[in-house]
Amino acid sequence: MRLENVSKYFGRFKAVDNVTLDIYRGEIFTLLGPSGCGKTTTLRIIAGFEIPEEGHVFFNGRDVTFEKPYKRGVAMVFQNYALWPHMTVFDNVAYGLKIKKLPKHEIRKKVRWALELVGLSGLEKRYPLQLSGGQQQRVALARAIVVEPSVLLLDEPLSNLDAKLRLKMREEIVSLQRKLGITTVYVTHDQEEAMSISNRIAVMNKGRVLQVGSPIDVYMKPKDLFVATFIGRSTIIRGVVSSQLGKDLYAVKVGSYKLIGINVSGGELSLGEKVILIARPEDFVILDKDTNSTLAENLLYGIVELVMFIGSFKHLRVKLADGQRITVYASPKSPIGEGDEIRVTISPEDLKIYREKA
Amino acid sequence: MKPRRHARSQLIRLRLDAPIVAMLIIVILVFALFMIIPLASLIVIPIENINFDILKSYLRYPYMTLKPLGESWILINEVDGVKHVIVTWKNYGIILNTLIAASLVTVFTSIIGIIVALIMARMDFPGKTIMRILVIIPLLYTPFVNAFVIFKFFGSDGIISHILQSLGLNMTLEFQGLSGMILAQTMMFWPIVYLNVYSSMLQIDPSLEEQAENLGAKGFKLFRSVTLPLSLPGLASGAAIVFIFSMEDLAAPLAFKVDDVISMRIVREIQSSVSILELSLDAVILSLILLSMAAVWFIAVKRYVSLRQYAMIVRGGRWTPRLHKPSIAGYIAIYGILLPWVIFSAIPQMGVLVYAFTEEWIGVFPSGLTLDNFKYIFSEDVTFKGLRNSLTYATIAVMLIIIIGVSSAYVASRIKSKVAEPLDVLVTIPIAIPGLALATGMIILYGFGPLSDIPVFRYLNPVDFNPAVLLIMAYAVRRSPFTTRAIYAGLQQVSEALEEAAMNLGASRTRVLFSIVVPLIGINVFSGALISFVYSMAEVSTSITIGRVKPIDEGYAPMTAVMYDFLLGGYGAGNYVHIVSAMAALILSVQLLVIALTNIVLKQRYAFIGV
Repeated sequence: MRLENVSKYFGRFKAVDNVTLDIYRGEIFTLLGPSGCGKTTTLRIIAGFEIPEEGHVFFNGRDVTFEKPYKRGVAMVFQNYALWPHMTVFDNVAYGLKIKKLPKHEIRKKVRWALELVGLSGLEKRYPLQLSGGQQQRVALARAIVVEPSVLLLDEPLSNLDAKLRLKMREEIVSLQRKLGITTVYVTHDQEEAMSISNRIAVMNKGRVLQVGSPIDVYMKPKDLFVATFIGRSTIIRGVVSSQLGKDLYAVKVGSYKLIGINVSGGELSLGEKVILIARPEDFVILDKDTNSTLAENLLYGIVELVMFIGSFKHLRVKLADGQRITVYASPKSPIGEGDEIRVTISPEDLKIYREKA
Repeated sequence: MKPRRHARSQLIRLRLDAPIVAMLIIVILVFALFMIIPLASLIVIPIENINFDILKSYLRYPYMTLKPLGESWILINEVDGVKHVIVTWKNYGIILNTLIAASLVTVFTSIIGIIVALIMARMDFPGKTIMRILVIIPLLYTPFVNAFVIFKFFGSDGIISHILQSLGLNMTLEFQGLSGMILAQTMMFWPIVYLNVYSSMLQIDPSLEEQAENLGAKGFKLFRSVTLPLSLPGLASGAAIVFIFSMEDLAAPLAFKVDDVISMRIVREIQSSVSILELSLDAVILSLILLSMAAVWFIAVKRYVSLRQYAMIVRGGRWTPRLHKPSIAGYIAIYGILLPWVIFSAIPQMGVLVYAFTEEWIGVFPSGLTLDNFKYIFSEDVTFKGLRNSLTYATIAVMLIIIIGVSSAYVASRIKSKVAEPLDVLVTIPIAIPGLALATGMIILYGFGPLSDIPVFRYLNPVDFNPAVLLIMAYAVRRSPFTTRAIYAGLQQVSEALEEAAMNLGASRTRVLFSIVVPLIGINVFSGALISFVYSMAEVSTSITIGRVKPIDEGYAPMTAVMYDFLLGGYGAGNYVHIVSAMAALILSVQLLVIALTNIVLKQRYAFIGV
């Protein structure tokens, strides 16, 4: 499946901005971004509910841009499930098959197969309102897969479930997808969800696709400041380029410190250019008091302002000498408390340099 | 390279599939043929015949005068010491009288409506449930005769005068002419304002008032700065309806024998035209004036309120309402003023029943309990046919209304395009269009106007063919907003995703409509249709004009036209009010049935507004 230079306007607002995507057979492809970034609109364009003003949509090389939604052979699971309240579970799931005019016994067989697959056998006669949120979700899933669509579209399918159920359903969706091998486009604003289920992720913001890649790629090598800050926890340090040390290796002056990092924004940085350094809080190493400070490079001093105990780690907010604040994760057993002075270091390959204005 | 934009026409074509286009065409066709073009043809005759002198004559008596005739009130002292107080009104001419009366009625009903709404929405007191039911009674529509009951109480030799004398006061009180009409309309229409304001107040988020109280506002200050401004949409829509209803009303002027108002004059002019081919210029110009006054008033309030609130009020019970215990003064006001007033405004409906079941009501007490009035309706040809016609016309009209309502509500709520809003206005505006203006326009257009020569439209000619066809179309247009609104409200509860899910699985638009949409909004369609049915049966304006272009005894007239004829003294000899009341009682019972059905069986909560 391919989207080519697709743009969609709502009035003067450009909801989807020149998006080009290739989605491969059998993969789970996720559109990830904050709310209002155009990911759901992109999904609705694929489903045929929105017609893009510009660009084309291809299924297997066939242009379907102007094809009616009911002719596309894609099946969508809606955010609020969109189960028809006046129909039983059976009738809901059987709806698409009835439209295909399948013989009755065939319909019964397939519905039973789909409900079994999602673990809802025996609830055929219930109405949607008699089901729990998780069960409704499964019915919606069964209704979509029973028609054996060429593409399965999932629009934030887990957002209406509570945290525990969300984890469980996440696993079930992945194993279901593996079992059926169905090409799946998944929309979510939850980056952890996206990372855990996807083969590939497209990170979107303000209608544009910023980066497409595997979860590891987008996490480890964010191409863009937005991607870097949106995926995972990041902490930001502002500075000025002071010298070039290697091909992409630069020294950056932050207050009275000099930090060494890797330029990932492409091209050469000029001396004196304002840059932003991005680090993952877990990549900082807190030095013991008695370590000889001169031996460590990329060293930062700061005062701990706030300690939050999260469980698997302690979240520290550290105020640097020049007033900037960074986030550092410490071991949960660490004795560091608010008001303590600490020294942290970070390896240059974990400190990524971006131009301040991208 | 910048990608090429797809052609606009292609994008539009994709959004409008065949069923949607078909619905759109039906709606536009019906409203064009039976609302817009008839109203537009009002202008045809004046353009052909008018000159400056005629136009100028409308600024003089009997249309307008700044030197009013008559007195505001009269006091007669009789030799035996009895004082007769007669409240009348100076006659400022037909047009000014109508404007003054409509304005005063609007002001009076607004004040009463706001006070009652505030008490009912914010106070908690014993007997509130009974009060809530009592308040609905004045809204039950009994064509014409409710005003006759008010006359019975306040007219000459009225029951009020008898009560005053039996209390030992040596006086009588009588309302005459315009003042009686204003009193009657105030009594009949105030619950319209009440219901609109009440529902607005219920929709106010309690935290808004609590925040104001938290900052120190209370009592009148709180009311004036927060509650009233937030209730303004309800007040505006209620006041707009009352103003238009007052201008259009025929019951009160008929009962208090007021001839110098626009509504009465139009009816008399149509009636006194020798044939509709010679429809008087006067009727047409007054219809135009009526229409433009309604339009001006309507546009004035439009900025406060979207039209949809006119037709129907869904009681919003999203919040737990803020209820206070009234103070001692509050209790006195509630039981000393509110309760008597509410009972007082229920008098007309009660009186109609008294008339319907008695032989005679002269003086204070009626006499001769009887069912003869009802027997008369079913045994006499003219009344029985009236009843039968009304049922038939209303039934056919409701079928059309369902088609119009489903089509327009669906298109307006589902098509995200520039068509949606004008369409929404188009289908709700009949509420604000004076029926008399519409009737006059229809008579011109299809009776002898530009369309009357075209063979297809011959069946719409009320004289040459049968007034029934035009009446049914008039009912369908005038009463469709009730159904359209009910369906629209239903559609808003139906998430569009439910339809998209079906389309996504391969269902075409038509299939989605019949397998998903209609089953989910069935109750809304049904309850809306019931309301439209009741008010089609009770329709007055077009019924007594178009319905009477042929003589009543030819058997085409609907029930309300027969009632009007009876009250003019054409039939039924001395007990005509009793027979008309019996007919009104039949309409009343149909309304009660419908209210019970929609509220109790269908669990729908719609306020009833309509004349």
